[in-house]
Amino acid sequence: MMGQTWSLHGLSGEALLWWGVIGAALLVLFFFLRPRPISLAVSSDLLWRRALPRRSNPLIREIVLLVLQLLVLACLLGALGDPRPEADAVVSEDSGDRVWVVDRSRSMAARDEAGRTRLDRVRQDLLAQLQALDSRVQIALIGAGRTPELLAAPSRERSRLRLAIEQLRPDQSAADLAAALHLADGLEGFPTAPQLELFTDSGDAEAVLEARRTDGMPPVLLRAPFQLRPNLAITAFRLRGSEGIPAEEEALVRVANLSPWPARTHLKIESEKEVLGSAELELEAGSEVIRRYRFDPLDDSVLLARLSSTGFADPDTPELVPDALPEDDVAWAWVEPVRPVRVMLVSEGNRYLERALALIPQVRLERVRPSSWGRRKAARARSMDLVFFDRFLPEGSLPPRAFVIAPPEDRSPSEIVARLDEPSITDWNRDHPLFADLVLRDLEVQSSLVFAPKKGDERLLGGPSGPLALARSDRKGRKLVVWGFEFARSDLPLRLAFPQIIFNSLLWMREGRAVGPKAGEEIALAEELVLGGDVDSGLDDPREARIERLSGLSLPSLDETSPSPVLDLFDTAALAPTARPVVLPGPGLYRISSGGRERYVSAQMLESAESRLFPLPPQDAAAEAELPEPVEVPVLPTVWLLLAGLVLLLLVVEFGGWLK
Amino acid sequence: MPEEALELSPEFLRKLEFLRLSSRRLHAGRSAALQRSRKLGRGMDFADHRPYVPGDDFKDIDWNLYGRLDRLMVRLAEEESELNLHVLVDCSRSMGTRPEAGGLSKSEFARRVVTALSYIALARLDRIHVYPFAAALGHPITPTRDKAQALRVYRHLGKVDVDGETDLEAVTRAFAEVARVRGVVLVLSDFLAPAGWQRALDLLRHARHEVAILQLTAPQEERVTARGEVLLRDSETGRVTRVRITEAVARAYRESFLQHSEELRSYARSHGLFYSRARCDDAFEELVLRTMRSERFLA
Repeated sequence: MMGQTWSLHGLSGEALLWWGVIGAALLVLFFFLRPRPISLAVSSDLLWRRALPRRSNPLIREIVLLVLQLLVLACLLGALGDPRPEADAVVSEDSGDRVWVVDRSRSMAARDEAGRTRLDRVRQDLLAQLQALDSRVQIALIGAGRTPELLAAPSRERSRLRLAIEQLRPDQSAADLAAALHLADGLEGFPTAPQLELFTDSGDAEAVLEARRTDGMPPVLLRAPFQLRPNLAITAFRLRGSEGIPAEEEALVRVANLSPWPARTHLKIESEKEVLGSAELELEAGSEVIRRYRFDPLDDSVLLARLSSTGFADPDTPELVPDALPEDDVAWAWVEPVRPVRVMLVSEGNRYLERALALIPQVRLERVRPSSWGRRKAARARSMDLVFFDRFLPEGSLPPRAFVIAPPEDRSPSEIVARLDEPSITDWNRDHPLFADLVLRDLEVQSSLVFAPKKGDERLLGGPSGPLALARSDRKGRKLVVWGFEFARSDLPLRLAFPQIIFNSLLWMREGRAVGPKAGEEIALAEELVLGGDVDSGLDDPREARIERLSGLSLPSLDETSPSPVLDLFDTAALAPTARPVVLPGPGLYRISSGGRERYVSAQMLESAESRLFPLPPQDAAAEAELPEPVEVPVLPTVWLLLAGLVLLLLVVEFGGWLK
Repeated sequence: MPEEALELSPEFLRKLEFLRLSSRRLHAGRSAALQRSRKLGRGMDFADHRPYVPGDDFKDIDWNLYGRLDRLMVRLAEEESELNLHVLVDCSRSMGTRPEAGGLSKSEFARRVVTALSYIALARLDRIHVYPFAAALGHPITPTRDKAQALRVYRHLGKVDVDGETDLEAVTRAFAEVARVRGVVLVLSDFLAPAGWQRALDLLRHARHEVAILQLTAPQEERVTARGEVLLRDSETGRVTRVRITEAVARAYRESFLQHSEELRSYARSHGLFYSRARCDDAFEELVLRTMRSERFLA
């Protein structure tokens, strides 16, 4: 045993030290907190001294008890640490130190036939090597991801290495293999240059290693013990809202077959309340398919595109092969709900205008009689997208967006120069948005006012006597249309152009303001989310923002018996942001809220290189060599437990009465 | 502190009057008292006959015997004389121990016993001398012939501080020097003297006194009920001893106590002395009326 070294196969030395310190501290604390003896007055201690001629000092006994307890603690720690002598014989020819670099990119989450991920496969190999390698071999573990991370410093402690291997998890991004190998090159603590082993499924691995060879860097053993697996991915999910009224929403989904085998799948697009579209797709190897769906603006805002029932026709197997990477089979989108167009009609009744407005789906019409106009109505009118004043004009200022039809002559917003019967209308302003692409030839009007335009007024239509309709706008966004004749006293309502004029009026009035649905932002999975902009204005510390994630991956599908859908879809367990830019932990839809403002971001693997599970890098021949047989080492933990048991027995026998 | 009054029932006092101090050796007293003496003379009880010599009192002639023997013989009777009782009362601090359940302390118990003995002695016209002691012999309390003076003994003992350590040998040595008249020496003590008791009692015997031993105990001295870790504090020396009292230790202490009592008893037996042990939570009347009579300290 002389000169033989020992290593811990259970808990690490650091963990044992902590447990030992805590345990010893508790024992010592209980020693000092033990109950003090009671004082007993006796007539004489003469008889006591005769009865106990050889009494031992109880304090010494208590100290001995404490020492025995510490000894039990030491034995238990020994059992937990499981120290073992290192084997004398070298069990394999290759007993040099190792650095394991493990690719933790998202593609390592691809599953094989047995349902194990590629990272599981790597984990299995590493644990087998750990068991088989000479215990004198030092090993370090590096995780390659967006940034390389030293998961276990060079060490012989198998327990610590085992823990680091078991905690390997896939990252959200591609792996920077070059940076990870560079980190491995710079590791200290090895007496001689260690062997570098790279576990990766990246097709770029060969290029990285070739670059190293060119630069004269130490060689790297490439390990890729993975199966070829097929993958179908949603590579695009775009939402777009039209800017017109009525606003429609359009969804574009692109599905790519990233495998050498033909595939079939089921694509579904659904919202919180309904399925918006579904299709069975068949894709040839390496091909992609685009699907578009148009639908009316939704009240709900979360949209999900999902591939399911995917199967690949592998020529070597009779059954369809499932998709290996489900993370790229789903995509989320957030659409801001369309806000209705709010129109107020102040009129005793104008059926032509009302019917024209009724044709526009997003219009929410409020009818007001002139007789009920008052301060309250005037206040409401200021928030309307457009107010039609039909043969009525209130006192005071007009709302910011007003369409005045046949104003009273004593209160016209534009100076009236004449009233003409059967005026001749010779022109209309085709350049103005109200009349874009419209024809108003031979418009018949019974009677109309003629206006005197001011500077800045735009002539909409008129004749030789002057404009019969004007448009006015200012820098503050205030807009006004003054129309000189009643619709009913012309043939305008009978023209096809009439509802379009009304529609164009709404568009012109809302110009610059969001009309159609607006899609939320999208972020690639590994990109940093920078907290800033509108949602965070006023924030002193982005750590005050709250990030919530859409809970689950599925939405309730619509059927006749389905209950009311769950509207609160967001996981209330907040993901705490940090002062650094945030990298979202996984695919999904996220809500970022701060100070009453909200922002929605969908994070997904769209068009991600990690979806391409082909090709695999060729594994080095040396890596295919069988692992050495594990060495039989004496099992010692039971010895420590026996020792602890013996000391405990001694404690009970000697001090059992103390327990009473 | 107001003086505690001693309540002795008339019945108890009446019983006490029938008792007398008993001595295994009769001592010469100074004056006639109700105590028997070996001295033959003109007493009340017939002891023997002798021939008549001119000068004898005609009243002493036994005429019945003359009628039978036709010889003149004179009756002889035992001459009664007083007994000296010396009571050494332990007033050291250990005698202040009181039962855990409450009641009389050992010193208070001893005080009552001494008072009862004083009453008996004074009723019989015997002399009683009460010496309180601790580390040294205290001033004697010598009541006069009136049996009512027994309460004076009670009061005087009440004024003695129960304090100090016990030094029996010094006390008995001092006593031997001051007590010129031999008599019965009753030692009331717990005999828990650090220097021991045997030498002290030997001194008394060598001074030709008749020694009587009354060992007083408290219940907690006979049997220990406490368990666990304790700090024993000696009431006289103040010494502190840390002991873990287990069942075994409690048994060992009990053995130690019984051995101590047995040593006293054996000593008394081997020297023909009176010995009795009393607990301070016992009725002192029982001790006086029964125990002391059965042990023949009283008759």
